[in-house]
Amino acid sequence: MGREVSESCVESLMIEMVSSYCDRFYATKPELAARRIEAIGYQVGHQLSERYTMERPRFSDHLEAIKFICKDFWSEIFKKQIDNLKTNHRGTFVLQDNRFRWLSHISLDPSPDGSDTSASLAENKVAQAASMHLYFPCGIIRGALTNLGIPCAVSADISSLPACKFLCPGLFICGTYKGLG
Amino acid sequence: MGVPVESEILDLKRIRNEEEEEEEEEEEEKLQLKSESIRKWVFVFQNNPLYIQSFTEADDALKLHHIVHCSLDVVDERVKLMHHSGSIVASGFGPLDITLAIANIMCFSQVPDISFATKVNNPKKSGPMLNETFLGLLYPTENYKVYGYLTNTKVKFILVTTDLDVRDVDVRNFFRKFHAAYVDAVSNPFHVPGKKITSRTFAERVSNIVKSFGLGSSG
Amino acid sequence: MPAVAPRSGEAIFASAEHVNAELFTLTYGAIVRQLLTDLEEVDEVNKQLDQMGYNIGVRLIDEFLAKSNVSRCVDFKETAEVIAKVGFKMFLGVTATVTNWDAEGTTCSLVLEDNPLVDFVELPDMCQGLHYCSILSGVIKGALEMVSMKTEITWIRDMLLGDDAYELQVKLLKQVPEEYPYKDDE
Repeated sequence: MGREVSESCVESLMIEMVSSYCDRFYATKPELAARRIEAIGYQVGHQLSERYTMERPRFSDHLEAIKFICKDFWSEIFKKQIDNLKTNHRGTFVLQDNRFRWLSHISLDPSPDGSDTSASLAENKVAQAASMHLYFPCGIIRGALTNLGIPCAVSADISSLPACKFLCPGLFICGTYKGLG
Repeated sequence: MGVPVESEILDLKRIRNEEEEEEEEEEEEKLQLKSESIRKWVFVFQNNPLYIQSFTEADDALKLHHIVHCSLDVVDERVKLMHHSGSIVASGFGPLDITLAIANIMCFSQVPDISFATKVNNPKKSGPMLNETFLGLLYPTENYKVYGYLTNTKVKFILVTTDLDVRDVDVRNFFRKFHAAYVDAVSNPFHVPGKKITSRTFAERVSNIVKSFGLGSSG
Repeated sequence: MPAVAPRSGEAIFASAEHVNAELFTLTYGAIVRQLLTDLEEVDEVNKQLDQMGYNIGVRLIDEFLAKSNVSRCVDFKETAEVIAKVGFKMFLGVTATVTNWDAEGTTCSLVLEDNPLVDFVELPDMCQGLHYCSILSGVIKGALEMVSMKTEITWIRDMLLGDDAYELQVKLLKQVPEEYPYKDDE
């Protein structure tokens, strides 16, 4: 359909969604906030995977589906592909994005001559805020993979902003999956 | 030829009950469509029926149910044959904690042949017909022709028609348009995956797609 | 209409970073659905969406002013035009029309016929009273407050509820003197 909106729309909506859940609705229950944010992502990923696989042949195995997430799916959302994909061949995949767009608004601002402690403290704080923002893309990936027949759990890890790793241990966790929110 | 299209809703209640019983099952959504003479059709989603609509005056719902059940099995069989190597069945691995344990000690290797620089999108490359969403004619009966379509997200569309001269290209075209309508319908934020589609817009769109069946590839 | 702004909405929209509207539309839809689940009351959802919009508006106004080169609008009339023609276009890629001015020139309507927020959306029956697009009214209110205009915004028409367009009535309550630092809630 080709309709577009400005990137700041998506960005401000996401920031506001995260802060509404973390600071207002569930200010004292970060796990609950995280779960809701993930559920929102899950629905979006579920629907997007439906849309983005519309005109393509079916995937013959899991790897093909994961590659689709890394390439086409990621490109549709972030205009770039995943930079690196690794697997242990036992159902866990690691997707690495070296410049994760949605973290670019969270800037690490280390004062050049500040003491080590304050720098690491600030870093910690940023990482905390960032991790809340990561539940949304994690949910998106989980929703998309689940819809493609790969029930899984997805977690994310930030080594250095704005790079980002998504851990998708698949298959084993079918039991924990049960519908929406 | 302006044959008017009559529509009626099949016995949704019965199917809803079925659906509740099967709620635990993996989302297998199936749809069927049938035509009587040229422009009369029925849609059914089976197992987890998502949508049913009849475009026929004939009272042959039972028969159709039977046909559809059979054809769903045919779809499953076909797909199994196609992917005899990697069927998507959950293996017997244990619960969550096992995964976490594995996650800590695992060593990762680069996924081979993942060429990020170029897009390998060519469907023709890895078995052209093999993984196509369009499954073609599932089987003919004396009165009906049954066609199948399986999306990447494991949704089955079934088309049952009494028009025995139906052309493959028209059926393909029908499924393509139907798929687009389906995708928009499940993009409604209030649609619950695996539940019946109640959208009026969708019903209208489907009825238009049915009306335009075989009338050229545009639209 | 080009006279009201140094840069047209089209020009700004064309030069800005874009994303696929589907992502935006579906994300907003998922948020609304989740809010309905969590808050249960439709009125509360309307309120929270409005609040979210307000917070977004407060932040977006800077980007808006920077990109549009709009200096202070002379009056409320001009402001309404700028929102409709530049603001909506710049962020959502659509334009609104301004109508229904009252005699004092303090109340008008913004009418939207096309709106990326509602693509694919059909409200279920249990959502009667939900103003799905409530975030929009919040954004406008928040943004205007940052330029010293206190407004009250009411939904008049809503296509999801069967109307033929979206109509937001914007009523100017008071224009705070510029140097007065307006305090948003908390």
